[in-house]
Amino acid sequence: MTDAPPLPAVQTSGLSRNYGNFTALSGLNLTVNQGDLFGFIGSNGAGKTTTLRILSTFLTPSAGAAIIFGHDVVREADAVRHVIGYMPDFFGVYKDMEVTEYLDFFGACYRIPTAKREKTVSDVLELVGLSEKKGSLIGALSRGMQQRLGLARVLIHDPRLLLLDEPASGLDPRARIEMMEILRELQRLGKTIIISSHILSELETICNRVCIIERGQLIYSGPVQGVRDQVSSGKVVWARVASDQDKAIELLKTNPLIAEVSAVDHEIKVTLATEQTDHSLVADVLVRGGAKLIELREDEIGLEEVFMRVTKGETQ
Amino acid sequence: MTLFPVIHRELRAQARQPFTYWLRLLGAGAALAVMAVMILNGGSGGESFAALHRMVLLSIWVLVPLGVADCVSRERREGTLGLLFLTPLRARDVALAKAGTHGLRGLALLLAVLPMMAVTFLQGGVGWRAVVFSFSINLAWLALVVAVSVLASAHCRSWTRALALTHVLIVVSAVAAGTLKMFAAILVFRPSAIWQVMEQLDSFIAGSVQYLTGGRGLWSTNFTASMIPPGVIRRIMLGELVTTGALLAMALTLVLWAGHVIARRWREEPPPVWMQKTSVALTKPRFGVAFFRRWMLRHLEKNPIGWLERRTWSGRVVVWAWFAVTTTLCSAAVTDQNIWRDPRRSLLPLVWLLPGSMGYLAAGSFRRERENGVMELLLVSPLTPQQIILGRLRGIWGQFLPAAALLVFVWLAVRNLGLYQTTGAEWLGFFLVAFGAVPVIGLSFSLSSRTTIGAFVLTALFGFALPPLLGWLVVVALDPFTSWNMRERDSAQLAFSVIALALLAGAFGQGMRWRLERRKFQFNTGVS
Repeated sequence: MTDAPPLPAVQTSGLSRNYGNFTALSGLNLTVNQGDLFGFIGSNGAGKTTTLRILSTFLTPSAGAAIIFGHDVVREADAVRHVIGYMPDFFGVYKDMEVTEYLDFFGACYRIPTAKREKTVSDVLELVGLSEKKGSLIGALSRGMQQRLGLARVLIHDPRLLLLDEPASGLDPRARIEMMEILRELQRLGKTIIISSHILSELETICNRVCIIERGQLIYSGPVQGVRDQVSSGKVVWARVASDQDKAIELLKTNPLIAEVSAVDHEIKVTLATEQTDHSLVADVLVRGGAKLIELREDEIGLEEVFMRVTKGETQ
Repeated sequence: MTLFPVIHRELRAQARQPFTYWLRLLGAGAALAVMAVMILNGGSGGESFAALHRMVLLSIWVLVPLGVADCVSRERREGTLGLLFLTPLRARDVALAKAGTHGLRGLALLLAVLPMMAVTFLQGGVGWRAVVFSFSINLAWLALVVAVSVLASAHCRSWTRALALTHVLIVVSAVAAGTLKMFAAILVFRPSAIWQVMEQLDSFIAGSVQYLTGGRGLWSTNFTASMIPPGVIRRIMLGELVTTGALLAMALTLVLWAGHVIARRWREEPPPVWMQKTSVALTKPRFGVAFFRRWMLRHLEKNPIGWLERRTWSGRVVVWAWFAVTTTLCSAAVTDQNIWRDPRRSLLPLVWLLPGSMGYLAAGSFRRERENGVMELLLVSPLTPQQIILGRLRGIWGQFLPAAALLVFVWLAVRNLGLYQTTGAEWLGFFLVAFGAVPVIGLSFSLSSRTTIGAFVLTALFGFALPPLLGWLVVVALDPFTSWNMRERDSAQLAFSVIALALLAGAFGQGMRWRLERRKFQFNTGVS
């Protein structure tokens, strides 16, 4: 007997949301597996926040369904609220409250018993690195610290799924890197995380899967490498030779597995044919032809480049 | 001075606010209603004129602060005040421009009533002196109210605090202006009579109020009767014009002071250390701290949404401040030397004031959660909309419960003495229903209205103006089928008003729940 596959953390089918005549989300089909750190990418107005709001039970969909750990977000909203932690793209804080008071308040809203609450508050503050700011007024915290406090609030009831809308927006580089470290740590602790962000280079480094939406429609969903492969027409390799550059170019052009060769300053830009994935071919051709190769590097396409290629830059 | 960009911006901003138009409609409607009532009751032109004057004066005291009290505090909250000072503008310019703009809006109110006032001339009984008198009083008070509102707004960041401070300053200004006038009058007419006046201060105050409001036909008697020598009338007129000039000068001084406050506060620097220490020393619990913590924790466990109302010392002070006010008024009422006067008559203002304050508190109640985004977080927590609404209502009721309980106790105790003709049961019923219902209406508007001012005005309309109107309409409709006397008719009208209020509260409560469930509320979020 084989084990049943684990329940997906999130599964949406035909998820749509209209505001009057305006369609913010149109037939979104999405699957997020348990333990994923899932990047949600899209331009402003693409429908990311609407999707996260539907998943958090704040909004109801106009059509379609969203299931979170087996619970429907509309029919079983109460059960969903216990397994999710939602962090919107604003802080949502009372600035005249102390840090522990704020977490205590939300702990009480989640009906965490008093005896357990104190320890929970202490634990989540330690996790997000705010233990030393327990008694501080929220208004006196820096933006990065308020963001961490928001994350601590999300974790207060130990949810299995975190929905984070732009958690690193407006943070300085150090705070952003620290925030990403915390997210990695949370993933290690077994949380499933959906994160929407505009800082694609960071999503690229921490997410194992991403989805790209535009004008409320899904364009891609899958591993980061998968979307790279989907958009790249051929690998680009840069070579530098100590001998005659023109002769080296001629050598490369004769090989059928090389699609394009050109000189850029003192380097040679080589575009491989789509079916060719191993860039050692370039070294092989040059060395066999007698050229003195001094540097060879592969130009990997970044998520930002992928995003620019797959979207048309249309906002709603 | 670079006033015009600020005036221009302010006028444009006001023109885009629906509240501005509703306010005008309200002003014109009230003026029409006053005129209609006066004409139906067969009042003379002089009486109608005085009634219109009173309405305008009341509007200046009540409506003008609603529009002005947030003019600087809002810019402080939204962070736009600092941007103004990156330009050549100075704090004094900002204060003068704000006061000028809102003064113009107030003058529009006076102009709106002008056609109705013209009708009273046609009715007869209105002299030019009464017009000068009315205009100078209204102008002086308009300037003073705008000035204190700008000053209060410069001092506070929150609209509710600015409004409360404005009303305190209006009372202080009224007392100051009254005292000034009293001494001026004594010095002009009979310097030797100062001690006699001091001994009969209450009569003097009553006379001053009549003088200010044209009550009991005082103006028409004084300004048209031939028994008063012309020299005395001239002196009265001159005194009034001098007072108006003094009040206008006082208003200008207050606006310049507001400029000074803005100059000190626009950088939003934290208060000085001594002030922070004093604040902590005065507000930190000293005795029974463990008990207090347990008490607050219990509140948090039982009702987290209501706990937010009691979390701060200022929230807790409200409870005992109202209890102190009620205790004082009840003591004054039951220890009155005139045993034939029913003490409950003295308590009637409280019957209105307590629910009024609750409505005021409720109308601004959810604004903070809407603005800072906490409402969205609460709605994705396991709390149901019903729990959120009831939690907040219980918090508001709890703040006024000791004062209300004391009032009801005194009312019932007086009733049980059996000394007075009426039982006052209808007023007690009104109070109890208003205690429960007005916060529901206020809370509902705090969700649906874009601004707190709008929420407050709508709460006042639906909580206090519409139920009596509905009660009156029902009684008028039933009149042909009944044979009740005057007292029975009044009681019936009050009873129907109470029923209308209860029904309205029920409808608003359901509407509020529906709005929260479907997320149909004014939802403002900004990165804070």
